[in-house]
Amino acid sequence: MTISGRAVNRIGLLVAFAPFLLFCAMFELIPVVALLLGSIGGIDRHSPEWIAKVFTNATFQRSIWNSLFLSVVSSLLGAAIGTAIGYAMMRTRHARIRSALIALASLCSNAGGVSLGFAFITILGQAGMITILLRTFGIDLMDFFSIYSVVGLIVVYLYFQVPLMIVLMLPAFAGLRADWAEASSSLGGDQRDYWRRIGIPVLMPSIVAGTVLLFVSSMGAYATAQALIGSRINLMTIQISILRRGEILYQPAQADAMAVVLLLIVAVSVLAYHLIQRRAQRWIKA
Amino acid sequence: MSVLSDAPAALVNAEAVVPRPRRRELGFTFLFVVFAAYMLIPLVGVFLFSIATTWFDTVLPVGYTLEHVVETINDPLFVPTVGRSLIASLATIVVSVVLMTPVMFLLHVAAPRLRPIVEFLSLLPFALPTIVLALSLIRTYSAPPIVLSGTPTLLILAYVVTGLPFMYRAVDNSLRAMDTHTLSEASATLGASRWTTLRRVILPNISTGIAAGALLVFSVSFGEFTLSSFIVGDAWKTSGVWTVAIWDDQPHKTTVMVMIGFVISWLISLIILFAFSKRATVEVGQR
Repeated sequence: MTISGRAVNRIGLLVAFAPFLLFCAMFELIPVVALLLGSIGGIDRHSPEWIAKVFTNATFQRSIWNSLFLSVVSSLLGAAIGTAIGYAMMRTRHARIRSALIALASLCSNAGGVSLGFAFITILGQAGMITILLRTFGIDLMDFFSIYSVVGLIVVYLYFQVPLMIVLMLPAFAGLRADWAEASSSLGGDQRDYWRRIGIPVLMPSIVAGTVLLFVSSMGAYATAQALIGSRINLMTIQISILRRGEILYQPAQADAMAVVLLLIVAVSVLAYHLIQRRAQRWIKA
Repeated sequence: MSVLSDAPAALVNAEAVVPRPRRRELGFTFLFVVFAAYMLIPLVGVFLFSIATTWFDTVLPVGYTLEHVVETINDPLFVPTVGRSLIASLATIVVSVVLMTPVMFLLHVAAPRLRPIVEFLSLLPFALPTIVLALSLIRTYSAPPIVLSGTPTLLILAYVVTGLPFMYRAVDNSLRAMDTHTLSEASATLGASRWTTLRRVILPNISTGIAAGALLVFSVSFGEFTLSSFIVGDAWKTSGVWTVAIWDDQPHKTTVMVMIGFVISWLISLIILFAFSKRATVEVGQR
């Protein structure tokens, strides 16, 4: 640049970036690295035994399985339903309905937290609107469904999973170009050929990446589950909270170890997401 | 499909590949109705509960009242808890804007090579479960040299971390929308210093991005539960923590608080959707 010498520029840059870099180091990197190192016995408080216990203790094992089950099922369902609705939204002839639904989806994809848990209790709890509506038809919802169960949590998590998937898939659907369909049909392909050879291969990376992202969002969800079930269901995040708060037993080091395992599961998933997403971008940008 | 396959290939256009549009629209409509109902019924439920007199064995409330709303607002804990959440959210906005604006500006005009680092650091919180962030911060800042555990300061800094991805995306989108590089060069050619360029050319142009980011940061931190319950808990009770605490004894008040939270976040989303960026919804998944 003309206004100053190179050296001055470099110092200026450093000064300008310093607060941001310092902040990220202090409140993102160092705490997370310290948590990770602590769990393998690098720094102070805890030893690898705490980590080992996450996998050997039956209660902790259970919490991992419950969290994985909840997240896998809710992300697969959310991805399938979200993809179908997203496709319908892109293909419908009613532009007004499309933009209204896009707005609704982007509003609800940010939902979650304690509010969502309470909202679902008012419709599917023991005195909930739908529970009582079904009772007037002689159906007792509580016989086969409880909002305070893993299945109940799946129903609640889908509330943000489905719109999140829609929002994630819209660019991918927009990338499906009409001339590909034309090319396919002019070469004699029917609808099945189109989807098998063009549609699904092009969309697949986006669908898989989206599914992984939904999995991540549900693995880490804590507030929604806490509002809905308190300590009644054994999930990883709930278990961390129990150990940390000392409602039943106070073991902060064990809570940290559990947090490390959760962090590793999520980190691997995010890494996978990025690798797949890179493939997906190829078609979207084209 | 067999009927279409018999027709000459050149006559089969793209629209004909998808048969029976009317039946297809019918299927779409069914999907849309189910989706909209799924998204709206929980909101209707919580809204009705917040204005219901008695409601436990009827499909709809027996009667309606604004009593709970009045009681909630008059609760001695309403003003302090909502006040703390407001203070924390506004402080978060100030810190985020001060931290991110110069960095984002320089990324675009002077140091594009640093982009991967800034992007990584800004988007990392997306991949970090909130509860893990809470525990790692408490762990690091509950012992010397720096003790911040239990203070609103640490809570605000934690909010800034969770807000980073939102700030980054919002500011980045608006900087990309205009040609910052050309504008900066033009400004330098006319003899403006780098500071003048930042203040008089770039800042006004990216103010919409910053405003959108700030609104999103506010939306994320106001009513937040996980970080506040772990970092400050009852010592500095925020509205999110209070909302959960009163559920067992005063569920109607909880739902009033939930409604207030919903209304605030909808208003913010709608403002962003219509006032700031018409492309907001599509941009989410693009980068």
